[in-house]
Amino acid sequence: MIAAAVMNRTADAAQDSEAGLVLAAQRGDQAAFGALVRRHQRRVFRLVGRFYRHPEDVDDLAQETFLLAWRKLGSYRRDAPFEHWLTRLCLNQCYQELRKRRPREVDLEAVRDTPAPCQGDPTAALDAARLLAQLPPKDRFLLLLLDGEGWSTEEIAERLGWSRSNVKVRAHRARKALRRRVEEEMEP
Amino acid sequence: MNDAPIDDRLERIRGGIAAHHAGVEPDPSFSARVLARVGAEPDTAGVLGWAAARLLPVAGLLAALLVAWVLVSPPELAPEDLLADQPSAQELTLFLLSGTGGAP
Repeated sequence: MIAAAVMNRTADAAQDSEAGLVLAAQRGDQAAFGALVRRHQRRVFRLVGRFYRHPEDVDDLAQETFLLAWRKLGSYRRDAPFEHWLTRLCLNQCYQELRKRRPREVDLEAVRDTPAPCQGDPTAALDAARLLAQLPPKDRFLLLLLDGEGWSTEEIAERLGWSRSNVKVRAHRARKALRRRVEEEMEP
Repeated sequence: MNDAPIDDRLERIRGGIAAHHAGVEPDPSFSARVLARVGAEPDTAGVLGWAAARLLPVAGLLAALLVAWVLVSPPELAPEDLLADQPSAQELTLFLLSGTGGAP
């Protein structure tokens, strides 16, 4: 009971200090923004690393995410956690970038060149990367969130600010597109 | 087509997607690099303040001209003022008899 109360108090204090940092950053305090970057950088790297495998790409996109956050800090309403707002910015940034880049060379090269830090079947990882590279960006994006991050359609809708029905339809299409590719490859 | 091999492969691919991650961690100088870029950003508030300061004399002059014009120009009659005096019965009779009332 006491431990729970202490933990709650610690969580409240952390939230308060984050709110203070956000407020200071909104007033132009770069040091406060630096503290926010240090606090959330690992989360942003983890998210960007889901979509890009080259370390330079991950670093660049993470930087772009924080730079965008600095520019848009004025539009952040403090009624939702800062983390959610930052996640949305990051995901939108990744999505825009996926739409701009040609995936075929980028992802496949990276899978071959980057020593896989991942666990599991390396052939399955290569197979997945190759098939993902053949899909349109929006399908790739959703499959990486569904099967990569393990998010539900509700979670994706909430984090991206999209409607649930929109995410469900897109997820269905993405799964169908992946299946079609596999079927084509397995046709005798 | 038998769906079982396809389903099996799709299951393996899902596992591959779950493992599809760069696994990169931020280096210790990451936040410093972000702050260097933040510092190089144009100061929007500063630019707006400078623009407002440049426009201030012009805005002041315009305001003074507007005040002067309001003070100098005679007040116009409102439509209600024009309709305030109802014509008398005699005036109406004269108007009708004069033939300018549009009667055939």
